[in-house]
Amino acid sequence: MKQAILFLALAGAAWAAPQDIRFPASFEKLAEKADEVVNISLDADMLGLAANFLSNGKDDQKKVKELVKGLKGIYIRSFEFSREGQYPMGIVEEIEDQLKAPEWVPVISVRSNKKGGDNARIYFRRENGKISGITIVSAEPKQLTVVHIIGLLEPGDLAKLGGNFGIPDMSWGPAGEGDEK
Amino acid sequence: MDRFERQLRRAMRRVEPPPGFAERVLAEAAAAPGSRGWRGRLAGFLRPPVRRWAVAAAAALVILAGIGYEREMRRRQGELARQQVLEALEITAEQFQIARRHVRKLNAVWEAAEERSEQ
Repeated sequence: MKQAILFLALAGAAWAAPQDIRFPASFEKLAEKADEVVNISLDADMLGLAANFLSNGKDDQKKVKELVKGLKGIYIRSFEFSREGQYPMGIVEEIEDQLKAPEWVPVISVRSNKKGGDNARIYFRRENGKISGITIVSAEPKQLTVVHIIGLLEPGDLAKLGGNFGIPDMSWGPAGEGDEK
Repeated sequence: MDRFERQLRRAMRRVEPPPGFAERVLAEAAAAPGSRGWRGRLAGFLRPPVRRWAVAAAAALVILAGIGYEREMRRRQGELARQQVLEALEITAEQFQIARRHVRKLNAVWEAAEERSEQ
């Protein structure tokens, strides 16, 4: 997925960051085994700082700026392995155990019973009829990705950014549209 | 002892210098141009009020350098945060797309199974 291995300066602080879910401590060990690691931790302050560096003039950057305004935190961990079965499914369960109803509701859930099958779940947290958090847990045979976003965000907001900054086109129309060919 | 010798002895007799003479000589020697080292010249240059101005200028320079460094660090941090935001949105959108693909794949399987059962 990503060529660059990103271990950012904030990685150390990330574990203590005020996020809604706690990433398992075993993620650190997993990072040692993985071929590629993406580690992004942006709290409200960093998001505010990032917003200052997004141009008001350029239309696409303006959209991102608007989207970021409503966010309180973005936390992503993604591990890509060269071989299958490099991470225990217990890690996935450890995360999903923290995403309980009524606060968190799984809106998309794909679970394969086959060994080495794909598993993906998308959870929304709703507050006053609005989405105040999104968590994506994607467990593929060679890749484990957890995306945790806190703040007001609609999937449609992301769709608006499709086609810019490497963000895939996410038209939510009928089957086939926006799918990878 | 003739007259000449007496005059010579009187002229050559030991006379004590006035009080503070040695200190005055040393001070004059130190103050004389070209007789001081670089430290002496610097000390001479940095006599008030020049010293006050020099200290103020050095302090201003240090403060300006500090502000510049802080701004540069902030700029780098902001640029890094901006890149991270874009990267995060890209990954999130990708994950949405992957999940949606899975759902569509499953829908297709279910629809095919339903069609078969209807036949």
